[in-house]
Amino acid sequence: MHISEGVLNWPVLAGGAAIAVLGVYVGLKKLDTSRIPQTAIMASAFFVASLIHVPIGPASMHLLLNGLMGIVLGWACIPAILVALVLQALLFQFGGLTVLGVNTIIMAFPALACGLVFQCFPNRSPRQVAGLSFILGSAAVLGSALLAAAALTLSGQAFINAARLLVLAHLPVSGIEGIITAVAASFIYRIKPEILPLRERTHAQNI
Amino acid sequence: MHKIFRITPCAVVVACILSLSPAHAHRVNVFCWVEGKTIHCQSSFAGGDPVQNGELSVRTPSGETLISGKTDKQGKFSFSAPDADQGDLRVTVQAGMGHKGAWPIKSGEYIPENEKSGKSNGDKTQTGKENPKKSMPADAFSTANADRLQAVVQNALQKELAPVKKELARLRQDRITPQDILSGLGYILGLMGIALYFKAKKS
Repeated sequence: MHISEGVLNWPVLAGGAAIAVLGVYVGLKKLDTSRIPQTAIMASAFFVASLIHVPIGPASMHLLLNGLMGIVLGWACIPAILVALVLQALLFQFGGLTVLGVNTIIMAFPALACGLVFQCFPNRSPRQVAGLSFILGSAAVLGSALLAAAALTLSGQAFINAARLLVLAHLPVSGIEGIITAVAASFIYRIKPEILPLRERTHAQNI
Repeated sequence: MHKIFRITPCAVVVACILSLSPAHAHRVNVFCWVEGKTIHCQSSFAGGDPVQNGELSVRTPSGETLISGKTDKQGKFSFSAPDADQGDLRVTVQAGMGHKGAWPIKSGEYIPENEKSGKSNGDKTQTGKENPKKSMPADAFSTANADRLQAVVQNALQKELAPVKKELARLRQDRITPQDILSGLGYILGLMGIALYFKAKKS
């Protein structure tokens, strides 16, 4: 999902960078001190997940875990994803430094949307949490694919072609992501629900 | 508590999946090597799968496209090297979906050094050589033979060296090492420390 250097034109790159800076600013403002270690752990998971190759489907794809990041971190997923992308660009040569803004938007905005949707449904049974996070985890990947297609379109590629290719290629990954997100989120929900951002509401309702 | 025990194995399985095959990813790799008058290019995703139907183009330093084409099923593309010195070439492969890889070819790789110098001051060397040839016509036969011998040797050498060049080009590619992964994780932990420090200072 990382768009490489030299594929997009500069207005798209500049616009992407501006929106990403805004998102990172809001994310940092909303970042609570007690959640910093958790944000770092999720950033590490995202950083490493890109190395896990999913050998199903027409092209070689890797895990994203952005749905899980959104669910666990909420707004803080934007700075976390930015940090992980910077390190991926520097150490793995995925994407590139000029494409950082656009890539951050592609990964982080679907994640954020998933996180906000997840927070709309507090106090659910573990089974419902699993179902919801399966849907959100796979939707985040497809959302990223569509955003990447949009970025390519703005740089002159035909949207339908790019979108069809990207979504098709990410279908297997999105299924796997859904399963991983469901397992991870319901595990967290059962063992340590206060990690999820909806803890205040559930806690209040439980008392 | 039973639920914890039921889920823990799942988490372990996921963790195992997550730690599998750290060398795979989807960056586009491309490398080229020269064999005689032909330049071979091979492109693959970092997972090792070939880039099929990737759009490959060869560009000169001035940005002019020399050759373009599509990679075959094995991710290969071959083209004949330019006869004249075009400067350092840049081969790019677009694998679709915003994935792109590039490989530089130095002008010295496809134009042999002796030909290069022969072209720039060719007149001088030729005039220099003609004198002894004319004075000793008996030698003309042996110089022609020597030229042919040189060509044969060069051909054989290029054939023998092609796999070595290919292997060298393959090794010259950037790869992801465990150090890269560990240093990335270290950076994230360091950033976490910095963030905690500043937040703690504020409060």
